[in-house]
Parts: sequence; C-alpha cells; structure tokens
Amino acid sequence: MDCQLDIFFLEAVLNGLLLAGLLALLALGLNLIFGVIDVVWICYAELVMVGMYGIFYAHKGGAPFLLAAAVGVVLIALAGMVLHHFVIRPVLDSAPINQLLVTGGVLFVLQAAATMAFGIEFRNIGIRLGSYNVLDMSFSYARIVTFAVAIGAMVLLWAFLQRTYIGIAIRAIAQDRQIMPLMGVDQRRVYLVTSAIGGGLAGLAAALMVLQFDIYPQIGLQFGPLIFMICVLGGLGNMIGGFVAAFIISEFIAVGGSCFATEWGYAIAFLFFMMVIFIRPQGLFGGKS
Amino acid sequence: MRIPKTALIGVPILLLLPLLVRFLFPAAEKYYLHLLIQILIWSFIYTGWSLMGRFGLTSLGHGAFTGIGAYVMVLLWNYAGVTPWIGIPVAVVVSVVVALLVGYPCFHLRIIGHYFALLTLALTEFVRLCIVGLRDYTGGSLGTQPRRFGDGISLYALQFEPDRVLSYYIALALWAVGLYIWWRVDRGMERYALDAASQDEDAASSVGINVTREKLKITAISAAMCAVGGAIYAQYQMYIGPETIAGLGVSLNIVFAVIAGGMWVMLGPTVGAVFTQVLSEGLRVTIQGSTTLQSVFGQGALALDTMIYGLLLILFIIYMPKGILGTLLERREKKRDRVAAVQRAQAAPSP
Amino acid sequence: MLELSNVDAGYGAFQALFGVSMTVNAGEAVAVIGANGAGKTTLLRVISGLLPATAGTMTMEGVPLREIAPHKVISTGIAHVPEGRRLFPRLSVENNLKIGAFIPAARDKFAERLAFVYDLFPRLKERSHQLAGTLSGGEQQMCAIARALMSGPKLILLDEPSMGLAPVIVAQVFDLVRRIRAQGYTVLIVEQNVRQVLKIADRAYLLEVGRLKMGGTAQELAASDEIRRAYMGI
Repeated sequence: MDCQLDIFFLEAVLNGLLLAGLLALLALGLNLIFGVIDVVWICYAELVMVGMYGIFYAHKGGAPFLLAAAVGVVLIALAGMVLHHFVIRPVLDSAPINQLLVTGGVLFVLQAAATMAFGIEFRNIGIRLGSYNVLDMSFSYARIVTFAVAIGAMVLLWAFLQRTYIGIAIRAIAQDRQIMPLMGVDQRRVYLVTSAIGGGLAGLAAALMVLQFDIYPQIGLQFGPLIFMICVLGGLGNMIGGFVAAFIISEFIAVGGSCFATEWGYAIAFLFFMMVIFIRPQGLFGGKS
Repeated sequence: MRIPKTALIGVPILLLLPLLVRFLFPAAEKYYLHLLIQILIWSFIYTGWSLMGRFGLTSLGHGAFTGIGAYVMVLLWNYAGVTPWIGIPVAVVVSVVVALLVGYPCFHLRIIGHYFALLTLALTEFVRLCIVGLRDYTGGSLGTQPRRFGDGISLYALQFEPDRVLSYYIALALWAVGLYIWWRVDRGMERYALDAASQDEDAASSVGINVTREKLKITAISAAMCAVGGAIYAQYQMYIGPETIAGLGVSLNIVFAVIAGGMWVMLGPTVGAVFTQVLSEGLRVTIQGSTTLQSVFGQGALALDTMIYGLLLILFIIYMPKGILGTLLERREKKRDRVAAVQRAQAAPSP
Repeated sequence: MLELSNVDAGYGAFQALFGVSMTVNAGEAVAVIGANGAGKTTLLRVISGLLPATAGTMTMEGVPLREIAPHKVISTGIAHVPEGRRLFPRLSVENNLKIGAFIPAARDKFAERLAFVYDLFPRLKERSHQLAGTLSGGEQQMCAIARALMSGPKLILLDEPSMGLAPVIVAQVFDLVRRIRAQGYTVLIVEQNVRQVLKIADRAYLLEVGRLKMGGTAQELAASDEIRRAYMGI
C-alpha cells in the first residue's frame, strides 16, 4: 500500500472527479427511468455496451467519430423505446421484482448476442486524444471531454425537464401518475419518451466510454452493478442524489485504487454503500421507499 | 403420512439410476452421471434460494453464499489443511453471519422489492471483488483448485470426484436433504408467518408475528444451504472461479432456473435445474456438432445458451410467472376443480 | 351539454353506480349530493374517463365519451378538479398551471390564459414560483381550479372542493365557484356540504348508494323534508 498525500494523491482525487462525470451521466438515465416509470433497467449497462459496439463499427465503417456517436445515441434511444414497449409494458402492473427479472433476461440476451455477433476479443476504437499535463499530473483529454460532455448533457436535460411541456409532464407523472389523463397527457407516450431519453443517455455514455475503454461483451458486468449502487445510494429516482453519489463513489474508487489494488477501491465503495443503506435505507437523498 | 404415487415409483428409480445408466449407456456412463450430478447439486442450491424467493424475498445475491461456501472451504483446506468436515461448517457459519449482517438491517428497516434485490446485488459483487482482490490466496479471476488428497477419493478430505457413482449418491443425498428442508419449512408455522408477512407486513406484525425474526431464520437456512451447495460443487468440480461460483451471473442463473421450474412448488427448483442443465448441454452438443453454427458464430456460439436463457426468462416472466411445474400443476388443479364442479352439478337434486 | 344515460360503473366485482341518468345544460351549476360512499366521486371519474363505465352512454356536446381514450376527454371541453386537489407537490404553482395547458389547443393560448387566471386569483400570482405542496389548503384548491381553467374548458367537474378545509376556507372556496360561474363556465359539483352547495347551484341531484334518488332545482331539494332531515341535520 502506498498512500501519501502527495501529488499522485491529488491526481487520483481529480481523476475521481472526472470519472464522476461519466458515472453521473450513467446514473442519470437509470434514475430518470426509475423516477418516472418506476422500473429498474438491470440491463442498462448492456445497452451502453451495444451502443459502444454500434459506434465502433460505424466509425470503422468510415463514419467520422461525431457522426458515429450520433448514430449510437439514436440507436440506443430507439432500443430504449423498444425495450419499454415489448418487455416492460407487459409487466408494468406486476411485482417490481418481475420487472427487474425481465430486464435481467434482456441482460442475458444482449450479452449473448454481442458475444455471438462480435466475439469475445477486446476491441478498441483507437482514437487517442492525448493528455493534459500540469505539475506532475497527467489527465487524459478523453476523460476531460467526457466530464464536460456529461455535465453539458445533464444541464440540457435539466433545462428540458424544466421548460418544455413534455418535460414538465415527465416530472409530473413521477409525482402523481393517476391524474395525468385529466391533464390530457397520454401516459404511454410519456413513458416512451422517457425510455427514449434514458436510452439516448446510455448511447451518449457509450460514445464517451468508447474513447476511454476497450469494448467486450461482458463489459456491462464491470460497471452495471456500480451504477445501480450509485443510484440507490443517491436515492433511486433522485437525479441530484445520483450526481452526488457518483462523486462520492468515484472518489472511493480513484483513491482506493491508487492506494491499494483496483478491486479494493471498488470493494470499499460497495462496503460504504451497504453501510449507508443500513443507516438510511432510502439513500442519501431518497424520499420514496 | 400419505406417500404420493410418484414417490413410490420415483425413489427406487433414483436409487438405481447409476445402474440404469451403466446398462443403457455403457460407453458414456461418466458423462451422463456427470449431468445428473450437476442437476442434483444445483437443484439443492436452487431449492435453497427458493426458500426465500417464495416469500417475496427475491435476492440477486445468492452467488455470494455459494461463493463463500466454496472459497472458505477450499482455502482452509489448501492453506491450513483443515478437513472439509470442519471447513464446510465454518463456511456455513461465515455465510450465515454475512446473511444475517446484511439481512438484519434490511428486514428491520423494511427494505423490500427493488431495493432489497439491488442491495443483494451489491453484496454479491462485493464478495466477488473480495475474491478477486485476495488473488494471492484465491488465484483471482483465474480461480483455484482444492488440493487433491491421495488418489482423489477420501473420506477425510471429503473428495469423491473420480468415482462418479459415489459422487452421484452423495449428490442425491444432498438433494434429498434439500427437499426435506423445503418440506419442513412448508409444513412449519414459519411458512404461514412468512406468507402473511409477504402479503402485508403491518398486518402480520399486528397479529404478533415477529416478521424480522422469521425472515432472518429463513435467510439463514437459505444462505446455509447455498454455502453447502457451493462447497460440494467445489469438491465435485475440483475447481472454483469467481465467475463460476460467485457474482451476478451465478445469482441470475439461480433466479432464472427457479422461475423456470416453479418457485412455489417443492420440485420446482429441481425441474428448473433439469431444464437449465439439459438445455445448456443440449446446446453445447448441438453447437459442437454443427459446423454451420460454428462457422457462423465461431467462439461466440457458446453464448447461445445464455441467449436462450435470456429470452426464456423474459417469456417466462411475462407469460408463465409460475414456471413450468407451477403452471402445469395449476392447470391440473383447475381441471380437477372443473371436473368436481361438474360432478357436483350433476349430483344436485333437480328442482 | 353533458348527458348521461343509464350509466353503470364499478370497481371489479363491486358495482358503484346503477343506471345513472342526468343532464347538465350549458351555463348551469349542477350539484350532486349524497353521503360518503354514495358514488359521487365515482360518477365524476366515470365522466372524465379515469374509471371506465360498464354500461350506458355519456355524451358531451354530442361526443360519445365512452368511445374516446381517457386522456382525450379533456379535449371535449371537460376539466376535472379531482378530490383532494391532487396538485403536483414538487412542481411550482406556475408549472402546475402549465401542465393544465398541456393539450395542443391550450398551449397556443397559454400566456393569455395564465394572465386571466392570475387576474382571477391574484394570490396565485404572488405564489407563482412556490412549490405547490407548500400552499395552504385553500390556496391549493384555488390552484387546482385554476389548473383546470388553463385547458379552456366548457364544463368543470368539481370533486368535493370543500373536503378537508376549515369552515372559513370553505366559504372562500364556494365564493371561488361563484366567481367562475360568473365568468360563464358550466359547473358540475359533487359535495357533501349540502347546505353550502345548494346555495350556489341551480339544480341538484341526490345520489344514494349508487342510484339517483331525487332531482330538481336547488330550492326544491333544499326545501325537501327528506334532505333536510338526512343531510342537513334539521
């Protein structure tokens, strides 16, 4: 264990901050879906994985990166709507665990499909953005860009939810589902739009992740549980909570990872999560239970 | 106690099965016994999980208990020479302690549904991460093996893998014990307490049921069973890895199998085990035998079983939440009710 | 304007309305009175589509209500102020009003209607950025009614507007109803506070255990012995 309060520690802390942007973006999509529709997409990380492959192949096929990224966002937004319409809708009225399990099934399907279609080798899109060096610290531009885009997306989403009619309807439906028809709001349409946004956010996250990580079918298992944990920690459905929780967890991972081996950073994060939930089961900012 | 007809036929068949297999498939005896042993051990584990699942305590974290069971026993044996006869009870104690440590706050604070499932998911990941983190002892992601004692068959080391027939009877005994435990829970007062609690905790508490204590009891039993199952599995496979015996994948497999088989029925988890093992083997054989499939998917063809699990899980949850056995039994009940109603109508005196 | 003919409705095996027939004419204020559990709230929910009717016909200006989806009912000109106000607690007053104007026809006129509503209810204008959940009971009722007005309705369904409010506030609420009527809106109001509601209604119906037992002008019902004994404690 080497853990001193030196420049490398600071580097780890700042890297944690940058990581938080990405995790917050991922948590945002999940929280939105839960807050509005009251379901957890256990396969959320797998949707991101599919997006990563989509972007990878679009780019390899000749599309410039930004176009490929846009394709990814649209693709997964559509996937989100398809997921909601065909898989979630039939079980909307059953026990919440059924919804979890049905998306668990989708998790299996997506992982298997990716394995069969793309094989198990690791792939990398090969775009190198270099790094920003200051003092003795090095920060990859990919991470900085990711952080900036993630924050930007969150701000845009916030504006959307505050200003547009459909945005307000999305917030309203989370607060009182039953009277929405009285406002002239078609619940099904709102759910589809929400699912599209959730999917779109996953697609955006995929674009950002493709710049930083290798792509392989099982990658969802690496960060999926982490994202659920962040969402629950912040209070399932609470978007600000998710952001704060993402920050806390990233710091555990970054600092824990630099002091000990990587796994311990994660393990400590999970342990912290369990302890918080035992003290405050609805999460840090959670209201509903 | 009324012994059902099926048991009268079934039990002797099960006891004589190895001989049957030897007779029917002399060349492939080992292979078929291997399948049966897998089915029996996993049935035991699935039955253990279903003790919680049937009362609405759907845990996505039982991979943690199978993992703890396997790793604690193997590490004690490999590094401290502790015989599994002591190692397994120790592993069980560790599992149960972890289960209670996590369960107590959950139940006391009324964490249920989504939240409970996600919390257990965190638990299983935590255990998996610890296993990988302790790689100097556990071999990390590559897994590890229990040290073979002598020729591999030993009472002291509880090893039996080379002798498939012996392994079969051990697995059969384990499976039977699992069913017995299920039966006892089903018959006991706890079952009604937990049924009531799963419907309405407040109402249950108000009639004097200590909901937390009942839930903790069943969690302990469930965790213990899975720990033993994990340990026996380790002894049989003579290999364990964080992905094969711990982690989210294992947890989801357990859930899928029980749902497919039928969560509220004694033999449901067993049917689930038969279903998943046969499916998995059948696919593997088909893929390895089919050059077309291999050329289309290559390495990836092996993922076909996962794909089918996924599709089936989705379809089961949407259309057959009671599972194969559960739905079949339900249909049989309905038919019986209809027949009885018709008979009653015919027997009623005409006005 | 609104015509119900032989409407049945219920919750699963439990039937709550039996053959209800009534009319509301343009410009009128019609009250439906009855005890708890009589089916008054069910009646309004059936009209606005929150609960499907099992038999009978309902038309709003000739449009058959049972044939359109629940979220389209508001477009026929019916706005329902639900029992208990049901504001969106974590949205501001103004956003609550905005969601009231969700239908496309209302969005174009949003600014105009918002000004009109703030004019009618100046207290809401003061509190326009406050979270609706923090308003007092009377203010919430005001906001709920205002929200209904944002869709530009012809008929307003009011479900127990006085419920849960202190007597002083109740008087204010009925005053609000009077003012809305003065603006020309048609109102169908369901109420347990028989005395107050008969003072502002033109006509009234008595609903008992899911059936309409009596119907007539408000004076007739207020004068009826049965009503006075059973519902007004006289």
